[in-house]
Amino acid sequence: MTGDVIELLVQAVDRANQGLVVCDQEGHVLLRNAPARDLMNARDGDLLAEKAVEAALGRALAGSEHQETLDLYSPTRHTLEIRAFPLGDGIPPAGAVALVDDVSELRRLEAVRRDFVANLSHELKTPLGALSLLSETLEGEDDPEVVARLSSRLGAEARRFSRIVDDLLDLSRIEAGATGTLALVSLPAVVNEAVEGFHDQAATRGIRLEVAPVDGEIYVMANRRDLSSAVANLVDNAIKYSEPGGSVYVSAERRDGRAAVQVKDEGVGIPRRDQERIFERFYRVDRARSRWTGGTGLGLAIVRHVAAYHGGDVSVESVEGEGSTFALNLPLVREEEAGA
Amino acid sequence: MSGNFPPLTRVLSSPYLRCLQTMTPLAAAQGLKIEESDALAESQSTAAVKLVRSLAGENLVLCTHGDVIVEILVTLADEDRVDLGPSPRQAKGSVWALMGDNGSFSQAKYLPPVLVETV
Repeated sequence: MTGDVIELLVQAVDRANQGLVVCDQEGHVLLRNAPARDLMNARDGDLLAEKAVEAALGRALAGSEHQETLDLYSPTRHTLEIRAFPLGDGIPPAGAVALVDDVSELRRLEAVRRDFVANLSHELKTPLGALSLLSETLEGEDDPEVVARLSSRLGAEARRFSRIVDDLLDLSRIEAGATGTLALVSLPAVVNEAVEGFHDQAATRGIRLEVAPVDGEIYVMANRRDLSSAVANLVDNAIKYSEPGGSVYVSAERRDGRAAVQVKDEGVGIPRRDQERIFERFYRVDRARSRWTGGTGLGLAIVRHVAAYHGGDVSVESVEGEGSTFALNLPLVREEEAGA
Repeated sequence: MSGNFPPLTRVLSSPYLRCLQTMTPLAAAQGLKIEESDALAESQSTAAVKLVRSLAGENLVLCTHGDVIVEILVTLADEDRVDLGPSPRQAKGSVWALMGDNGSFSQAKYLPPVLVETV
């Protein structure tokens, strides 16, 4: 092979995503591509990676394929998968190659998926257990007062189950990108529409629900149904976590060049350590706090996904015992673009 | 009740005679006095749930009525996400063991009624 061809091959393997280390039959490294150099430069934990690759190449030179997974905790936590193969047909081999993959992200996603399935199973099993117990009890019950009471609970359990399934389907549709085309939407109109359904619930719980007046029009490009559902989720939470006598304020406004919906409550607040995690599916701040809400545990995950696919985000500021303010921020459509 | 449980500290019962009679042998065996509680009477589900929560973490026995037991269990499934198992039951004479502390429960286990030979 000419030097030019070798140079081209070296450049080609530098472009791979996988780390690649080739050695001769003495174990001297002949080639280390760019990803291998990045994965094993001279930081603390990477010395371990270097040693593991050397050991894997040694095994391959002894004639056998080798595979291992290496968990490193320094400088950051990551996981490498190392595979090594003998090269050449002879014994001993003429050399060996080690392939190194950084599987940290894959592992993280696997863990997220496992947790989700475990949480989901549990979240579905508890209402199913309740439904099953209620139906079994009703079968043998002849006191009309008890039958009426348990039937009403059975209905409530069935509705709870149905809400979880509806939220899961919404989340799955949004995650799959089946979000339809975005259209020009008046943000205050969506906010009013979303808040409309909560006046009775707030009044029943003795909570004042106020929508701030808007100065002028605010336009965003949105899927009206999903945006309205996201705002409704925030308002629903604000009411659920408020004490009687408290107030919930909702506003649509322009802020820092963006459109924002703010939902502010004077409720129990969220501990700082939980503030990022509350947007995860089925994450609950603690059992005692989530006890009375009847939520599905998916509302804020839906809000975050809706914000993200609209090119926006959702944030929270909260002080325990004082209340929380959620802000759903979206790209603002300027009035001249909206044709207003 | 088998020896799997630590010694009981209290025995509470609905004031209904059939409940008190059910608890009498157990209370006697444990050297405890039965404490009557109106919160455990028939149809008292809200008061019963409140009472049960206030006792979470204690080793004690409560005796109440089938409909009240169901409402307690359904409430714990709803609010504490306690898994009642694939086909929960509440046959007469059965026991539900509830595990928890600080006002919340994490597990519930069904113990079917023990058959007693009668002559």
